[in-house]
Amino acid sequence: MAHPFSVRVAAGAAGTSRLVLAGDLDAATSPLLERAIQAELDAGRHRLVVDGAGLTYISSAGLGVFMGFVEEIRERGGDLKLCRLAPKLRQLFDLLGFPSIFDLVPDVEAAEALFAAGALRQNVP
Amino acid sequence: MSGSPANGRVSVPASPESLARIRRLVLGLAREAGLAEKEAGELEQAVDEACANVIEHAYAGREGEEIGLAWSLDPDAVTIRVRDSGRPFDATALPDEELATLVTQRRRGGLGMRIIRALSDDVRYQSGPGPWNELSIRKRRKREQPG
Repeated sequence: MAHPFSVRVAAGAAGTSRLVLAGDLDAATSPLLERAIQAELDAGRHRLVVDGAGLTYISSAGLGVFMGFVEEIRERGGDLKLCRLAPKLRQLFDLLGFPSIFDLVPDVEAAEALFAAGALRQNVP
Repeated sequence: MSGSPANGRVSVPASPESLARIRRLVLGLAREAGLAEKEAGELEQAVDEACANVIEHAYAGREGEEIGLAWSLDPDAVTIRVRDSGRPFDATALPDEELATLVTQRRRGGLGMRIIRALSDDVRYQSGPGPWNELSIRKRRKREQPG
């Protein structure tokens, strides 16, 4: 069954932007996510919480969007934190070593709490 | 295996919009062959990554090209062969790159072959003579534990 991809952006707590993703994030749909993140950065919003609860699939093209943006986001004093990934997707993030670079947290509130506490990861040395 | 023949092939347009259809096909074949859901999903992802590589690298995004998919469903494994007629490139010869390196270089690519390798039991690349390249991806059926 096809799972059309969508990204919805909303203001969250602690000055965050919440990007709510749903559907299959692959090489066809990753440009939509790229544009959504770029739009947040262009608007000066760089505290990003990615809510992945609705994601049904993610390929390297989708993962590449997070990889490609995170250094720039941190340079601007922000961060990109991911939450609510389905176990199947979380396994892929773990396999590739994402937890060493990104905060992957259980829910939106945990991500916002990290931002509120000023817990921003630094750029990779 | 009732619906799909044990061997078959299709051609699809080499465009990102084909990827969802390719994933559906592979998932269906994997289930047909009796792979568990986890293994079926891993094969689905490995083939998706291989086809995305063909579209981006072998054909460099050119329109009007095709990807050939051939499958064989055996009692103990499913093999999917992804064939193109674009630029030959043996990504299986590349070493895996660390995520930290890709991030510091702000690269959006570089994980595809690593994912294919991690999720498959056997990956082989062949190229020509003639204008064809093929990545063969094999996924074994897990045997039930005796007992």
